[in-house]
Amino acid sequence: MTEDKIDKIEKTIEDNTTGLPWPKSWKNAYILVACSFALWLTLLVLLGNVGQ
Amino acid sequence: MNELDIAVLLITIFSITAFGIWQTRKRDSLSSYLKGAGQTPWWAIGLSVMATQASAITFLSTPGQGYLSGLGFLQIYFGVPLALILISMFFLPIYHKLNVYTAYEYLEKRFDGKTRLLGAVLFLLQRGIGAGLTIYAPAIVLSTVFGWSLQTTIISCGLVVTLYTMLGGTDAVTVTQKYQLAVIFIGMLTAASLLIAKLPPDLSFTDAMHVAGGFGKLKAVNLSTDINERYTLWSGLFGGTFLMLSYFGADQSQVQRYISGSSIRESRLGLLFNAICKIPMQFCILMTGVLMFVFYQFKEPPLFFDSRVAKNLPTYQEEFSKTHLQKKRYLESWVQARHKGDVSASNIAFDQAKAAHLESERIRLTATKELAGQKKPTKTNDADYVFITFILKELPHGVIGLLVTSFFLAALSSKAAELNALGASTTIDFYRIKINSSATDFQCLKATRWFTFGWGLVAIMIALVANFSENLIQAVNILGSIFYGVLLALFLVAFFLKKVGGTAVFWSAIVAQLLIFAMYLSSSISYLWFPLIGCTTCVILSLLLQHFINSQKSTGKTAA
Repeated sequence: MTEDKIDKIEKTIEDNTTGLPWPKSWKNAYILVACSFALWLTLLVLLGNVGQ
Repeated sequence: MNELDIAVLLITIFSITAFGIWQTRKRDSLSSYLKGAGQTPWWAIGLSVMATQASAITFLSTPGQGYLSGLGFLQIYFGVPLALILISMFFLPIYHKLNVYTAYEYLEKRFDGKTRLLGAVLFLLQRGIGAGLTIYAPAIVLSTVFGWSLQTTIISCGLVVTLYTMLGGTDAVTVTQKYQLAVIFIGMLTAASLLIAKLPPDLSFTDAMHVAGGFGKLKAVNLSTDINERYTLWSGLFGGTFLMLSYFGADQSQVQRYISGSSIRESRLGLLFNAICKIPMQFCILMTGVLMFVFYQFKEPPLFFDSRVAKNLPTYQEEFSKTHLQKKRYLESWVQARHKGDVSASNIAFDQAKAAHLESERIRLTATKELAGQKKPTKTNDADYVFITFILKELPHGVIGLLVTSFFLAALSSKAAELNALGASTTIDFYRIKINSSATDFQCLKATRWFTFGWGLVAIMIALVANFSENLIQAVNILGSIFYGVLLALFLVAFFLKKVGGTAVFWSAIVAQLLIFAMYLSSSISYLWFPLIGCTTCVILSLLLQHFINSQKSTGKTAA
């Protein structure tokens, strides 16, 4: 295998994982974003009831 | 501002700017000028994307929006997480694979030259006008602070930013944005901390939240289904997603930030960092405005924060002061009753405070109407002046300098990114295609610098002639909403509707854009729905027109 091909494969692997300790896959990273949004939305709804 | 403030302002701005230019002094190829050196890590991309969106308007006008209308404006950002996930999944791999300088190059590869030009024109129009708005914001601050005329301030601010961008290019923008953002956050945190410290000593933070909530300032989620209401959960989720999808996915000023990453991974992480941080960041800025509202319940605010407007209304100011004093007394009684645990007394006192608040709002409205009826109507939406008035009147020297520096740096970072993108798109999508198709990289680089300068001048002229009836943060979003839907549709059709060709999408985009112009001028529908309507109209028309073109072709073939 040429060096170019090895580089390409390494780059693909690198692009397919987040490279973070957690979340490792992009799917989990997207779930994390969605969950953080849901959490914010819930907190904002609760905050809207303060002082009412 | 005293000598200390001016020293903080000058030292910070010049050291960061000089550092950016020095760091990127050897990068003089077209590629490094437009896309950076291709080594930007994810966190720098993330901060750069954040800094590009967070202009001086964000830090100057948003607290004022929070002061006047509460947290409801936050709903406009509800579309950010979903939009950035979609861009990470679909847009980013294509931009990286094709190794494009501008997003609109892809439109030519997929459709044809005219569709690419249309995409670039929509971007240039929208962003060119937007650049005028982003110069206007720091000019307000500096003209108020230094007492210069607004025109002088617009010209001097505009020229500084334009020259800096012209010299540095993308890399200088990215290199300096992280330091600029650090100063901005330190400034905003200091202002928020001092604001909390300045609340009356017997008013706890929980009490302050109750005051804000009682006056309806903490309602961040509006479930109304009325499409004429500007900020609702639904307009934020659906319209906001389309607005943000267009802004982050099809606006060159953002695309240029994240395609500078060394790999898809870095760019994607940079985008997802924003997907998580954007709502909390905007929440904190709006919350500063809400806390300012609480502060001004115990200390008399001016009738209008723009001192030039307030001067014309001495009678109303007197009446307003009297009502405010009453309200303050009721609120003090409420705090005492609440601390004693006397529920009925606290409820009565708060109801009285609310009634007094309504009365002061009525006085403000009457004064606004009078101003609007004058021969030379004055801008009465003074949300942009609330925060700067608070800073100048209530915060100590040194902190004033730090915050004015923050506003200026925010303007510098977003404006530089905008001008950089405008220069890049004009060179790559027009100059290299229509004017000098055999241009060398060196000629293109030179042309980009001059186009950047030209766009800087256009922005200054727009800022000089503009008169915004909306406050700045809303004006920027309204402008984006008018153009972004159709721009996004060009990319969505390109990605997902492989059977639709250039001619069908080009004419559909023109019709959809005209429809949005007509709706903006004649209907009262919330602007957040425009991207969704523009995008859907263009996509549906493209499919119908392509079907028509195909049927015409097959009829022609059969006849032959």
